[in-house]
Formats: sequence, C-alpha cells, structure tokens
Amino acid sequence: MYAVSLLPREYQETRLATKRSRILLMVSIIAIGALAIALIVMNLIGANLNRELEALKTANEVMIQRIDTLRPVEVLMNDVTALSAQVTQVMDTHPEWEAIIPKIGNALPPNVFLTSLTAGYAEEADENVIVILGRAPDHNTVSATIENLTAIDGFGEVTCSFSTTDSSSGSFQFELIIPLETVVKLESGVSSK
Amino acid sequence: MNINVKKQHILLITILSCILIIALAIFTAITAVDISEANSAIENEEQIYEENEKKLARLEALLLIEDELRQSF
Repeated sequence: MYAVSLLPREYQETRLATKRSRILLMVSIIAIGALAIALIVMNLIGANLNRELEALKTANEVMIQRIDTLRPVEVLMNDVTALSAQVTQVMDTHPEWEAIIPKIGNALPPNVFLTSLTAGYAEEADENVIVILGRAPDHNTVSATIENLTAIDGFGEVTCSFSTTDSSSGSFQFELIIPLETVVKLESGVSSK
Repeated sequence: MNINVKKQHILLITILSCILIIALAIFTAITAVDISEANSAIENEEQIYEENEKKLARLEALLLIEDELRQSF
C-alpha cells in the first residue's frame, strides 16, 4: 500500500520545515535543561568546595597562631643546637689537657718540684706550648726531666730556656718549654691537626 | 500567512534558545574552572596544614623539654 498525499508541494515543504524547526526547538530546550541542571550541580559542588577551603584556611590560621606562640621554644632549641655544635667542635680540636697534665706529672722525677705550669692553645697557631717552671736538686735531674718529657707522644723537642742556682736553697730553678706538635689525643693515641 | 508567522515565531524562539545555550555553556565552563581552582587550592592548603601539623607536634614536644633546654643553655 502506498500513502499518497494530494496536498500541494509547497504546503508539504512548509510543513516539513515547520516540523524540523519544532524538532530543533525541542532539542534546544532539552539542551538548556541539561545545561541548567549541570550548572546548578556544579555551583553546589563549587560552594561545598569553597566552604571546605575556608574551613581549612581557618584551621591553618589557628595552627599558625599556636606555632607563633611556641616560636620562643624553637629559638631556644636552635640556640642549644648551635651551642652544642660549637662545644662539639671545640671538644674535637682542643688538646686533651686532662690527659696531658697527668703525663707531665708522671714524667717528673720525684725530686723535682713543679712551681708553675702555663699551657696555651690556639686553633690558628702552628705551634702551641706548655711552659713549666720548677726546681731540681741538680742539672742531671733537669736533663732527665727533659728526656722524660720528650718521650711523651705529641710533644716536640723540649727546651730549657733557663736554669739558675738558687743561692738560698741551693737548688736549680729551671724553665722548660714543651711544644705541642699537633692537637694531642693522648688517650686515644690519635693525633690530628 | 498564518503558517509563515508561526514559522517566524519558532525561528525566533530557536535563536533565543541557542543564545541561552551558549550563555549556559559559558557559565558552566567558568564554574568548572572555579571548581578546578578550588580543588588545587584545597590540595595546597591541605599540604600546608600537614606541614604545620608536623611543625606544631615538634614544637609541642620541645615545649615538654623546655626546662631541660633552658638548663642546658
């Protein structure tokens, strides 16, 4: 069976065009609806995200205020750390006087009296010295003292700057200069500059 | 004549619809960009929050030993 339209051709074309326009209009309305719904949903999501962001910012501000109140403790900790580092550095490079002085004491013969001991150390200096003043009964004892001191590791050649006879007591007064060749670590046996 | 007027009305409504669609599409795109920016800002803020949280925990731990620190200083 065939459907035969007896309407005029122009009328048929006009109806077809109207039908197409209506379809286009319907599609447009559907698109508008879809876009409007998408826009509303996205605005809701955006508002929610903005609220979350504001809450985070507020929490951060509170935390920063708390951190600021604790800032002095951090400064104190930094000072302590810097001081500890300084102490560690100094302890690493200075001679171990607590080991050196007993060694000197042990090197002195029993009949030698130490009247003065001056020790100096500077990290920048090439050579650091210990100066000891003492009394001995004779020159041989002074020589023995010099030999004993020279035998100690880390000590340079010990020199006697003067040796005089004390007329009142009859003993010899002497001054010895002991150069520290390196930064002495007597206990560990390690020497380093 | 009647058909032509109706056709013109439909055409006008269709043009208005197209304009509205374009406007809505632009607003939707702007909103999408805003959402993306908000997401980035939230991630950034969360990172800052975590760092601050660690720092605060460290400072609070230091606060507990504040007296010892003062003594050692």
